[in-house]
Amino acid sequence: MDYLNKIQKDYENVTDLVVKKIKSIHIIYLETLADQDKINNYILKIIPKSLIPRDIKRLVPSPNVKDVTNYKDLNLYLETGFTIIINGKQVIAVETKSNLNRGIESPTTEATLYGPKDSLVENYQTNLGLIKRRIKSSHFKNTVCNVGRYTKTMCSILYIDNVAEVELVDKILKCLENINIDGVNDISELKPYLINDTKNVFPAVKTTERPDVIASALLEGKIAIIIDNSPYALILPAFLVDFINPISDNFLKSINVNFIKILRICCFLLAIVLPAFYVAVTTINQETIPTSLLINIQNQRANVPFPAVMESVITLIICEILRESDIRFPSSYGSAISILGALILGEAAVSAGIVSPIMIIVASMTFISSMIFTDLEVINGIRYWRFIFLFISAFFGLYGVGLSAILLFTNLCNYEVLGKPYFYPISPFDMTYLKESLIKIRNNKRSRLLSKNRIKGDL
Amino acid sequence: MKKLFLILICLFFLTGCYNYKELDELGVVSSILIDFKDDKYKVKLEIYDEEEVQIFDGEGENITEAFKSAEAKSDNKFFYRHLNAVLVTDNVNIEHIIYYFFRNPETNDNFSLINTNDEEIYNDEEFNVGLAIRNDLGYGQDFSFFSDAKNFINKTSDLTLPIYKDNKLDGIKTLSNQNFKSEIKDAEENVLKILLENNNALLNTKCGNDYFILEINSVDTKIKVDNKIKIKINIKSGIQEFTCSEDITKIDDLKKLEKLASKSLEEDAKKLIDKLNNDSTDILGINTLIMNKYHKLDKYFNDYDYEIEADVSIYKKGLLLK
Repeated sequence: MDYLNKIQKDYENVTDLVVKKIKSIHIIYLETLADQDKINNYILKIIPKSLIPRDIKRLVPSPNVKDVTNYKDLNLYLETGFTIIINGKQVIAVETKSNLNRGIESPTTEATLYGPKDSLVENYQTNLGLIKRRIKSSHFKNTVCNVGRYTKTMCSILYIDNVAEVELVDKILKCLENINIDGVNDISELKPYLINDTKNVFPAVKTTERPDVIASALLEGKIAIIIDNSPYALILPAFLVDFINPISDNFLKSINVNFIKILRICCFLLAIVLPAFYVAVTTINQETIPTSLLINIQNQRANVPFPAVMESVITLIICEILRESDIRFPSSYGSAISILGALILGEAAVSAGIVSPIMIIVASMTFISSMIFTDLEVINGIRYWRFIFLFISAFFGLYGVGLSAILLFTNLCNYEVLGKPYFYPISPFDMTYLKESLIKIRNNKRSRLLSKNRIKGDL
Repeated sequence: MKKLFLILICLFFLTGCYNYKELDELGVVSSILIDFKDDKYKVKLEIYDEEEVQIFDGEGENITEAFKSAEAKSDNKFFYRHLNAVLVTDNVNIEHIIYYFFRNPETNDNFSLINTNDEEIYNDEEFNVGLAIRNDLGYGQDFSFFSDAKNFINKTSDLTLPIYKDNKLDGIKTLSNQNFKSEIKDAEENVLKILLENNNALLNTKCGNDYFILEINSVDTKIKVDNKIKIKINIKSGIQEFTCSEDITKIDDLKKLEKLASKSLEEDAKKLIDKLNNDSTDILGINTLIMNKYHKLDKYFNDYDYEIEADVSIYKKGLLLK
């Protein structure tokens, strides 16, 4: 096959394609992806001045030299920074990738006070290296596949073969291989193809940028996915409790951490229930609060023209707008948003009699409680249920809050991630995983749902 | 999405459904005064209003009408779930009142039924009568409507109502056959509280010209029906005030004081029971005990002789200096 002509035809308007002819050898590379120094050292310097041997591969000092057997492979090598050498009938690809990466930086979305300060970057090899540095075992495996018709993004499924369920790995690999899209720009785009979670608003896959989180998940028997060009990894299966408790808990003393863990569960419930509870006790179940508090709230609401439920909806929507603009805006504008939102809007809304001061407290408490969770997907899930609770409680009061709670918990219990119950380890109850997630107690066993190799320390 | 849209639509059109009441449209009732004069019920409702209280009055041929006429004078809907007290005068038929509130699903069941004959109790707009009564009685009340009504309806025992006079609770009034009887005050009130197993009582005992006061920590009153009515009172107490000459660091002197207190309590209780028997007031529910034992009432509670035995123990002597 005349590869040279085909390349020149296919890459007609591609300006960074370089084709050099030295004697009878053709050297082809994309100059934006390839490193000129490597091309010089590995290829140009070794081309003999006299006779060109038939097998040029043995002369190339590069650690990564591949034989190219078809045009599809040639194309892939060329697009990934390899240099193609065509020497008569011999076609080889020499790795000459240029370093297009940024350095390893501290985590931004999962920052902790203690613990490792490195985070994943956009380079697949670097990311794999960061994880391999933590798990030095031949049992640590990675299965690779490419996703995307145009992007051909390298995806890698990471697992420890004697800890994780290999059937689960096959299942995930099959899901990735069946993905039929043009391209993948970020790992989050893979989530809908891995888990069909239209019924559940809470995330079923954990997204992390911390290699230590990935390593500890792998050691638990979970499976991680990393892809090229994404500074995040996916961990699955993930349960609700995994989102409530961050990795930083592992670096602190148990007795203190358990208090925080219980507090986080309270915050999770508070972030969902609080506005609904406010509406219920101010419109239907006024008998449930102490008289002095009732009179206090009554006085505060005296000038508000809206019903309590509308007041709650207005305040919560304003808060959602503020939060969204805070996330989207560059951080330098962040303080301006806070001042505008918290001080001016909050104060003015109370003065104008649109909302009552107690509603501002309820909304603030609700949002502060939801801010404890770093995963944006969890916050979104909480918001969804918050409005459901709010609307039902507007009709039925505290009875409605109870009904909504039943709805929430049956929904959570009913949901599965890759065949594993999402409300695990509460339902089905498992003390082993509970010790790892909801509370922190010394534990030398792995969860029976995640691993057949249950005793930690057995190789 | 359709469901969410439907919920939003419902929110706008159906928020006025069952039980829904906006807080700013409520008049939270703190206490109610009920009187019966000229064949008409007269009610006064005390409503919370920021720092002060508002008073609405109404009258009618029955209690419901009287309440309706009072409610008609207010822009707000009256809310009875935070009711502290219902004050009744001697003129009202207590049975009507008890049945009215017992059937009323709109009130809470832990307000207190109080007796008063002062019709001008609501003169001071800055003074919340209901709240003052609630604070006086405390939240672990022994005079809650529900227990009173239960006893009254089951005819377990006769009623006792605290008396509200001059902006404070002062004494207890007894009822028999729906009629108000005698007032019990001061020392007698303390003895009655002890007989009703109320810890919130003091025991004042004389030692010659001096006295000592015991604060009761726990009281256990057992009543046994036999040939006589035997009442056994066990009290654990601490010394609150002491002016006697005895040396309370000595066990013998302490035993002497305990005996003195027990004897004094026995005498006081005997006097009180004689008074209650003369009024035909069965506050202790002795008729019920007789019925439970003999399944008939050949002899009533005031036909029996009473034997009272008190055992007062002093556990706390306070700080002793030598």
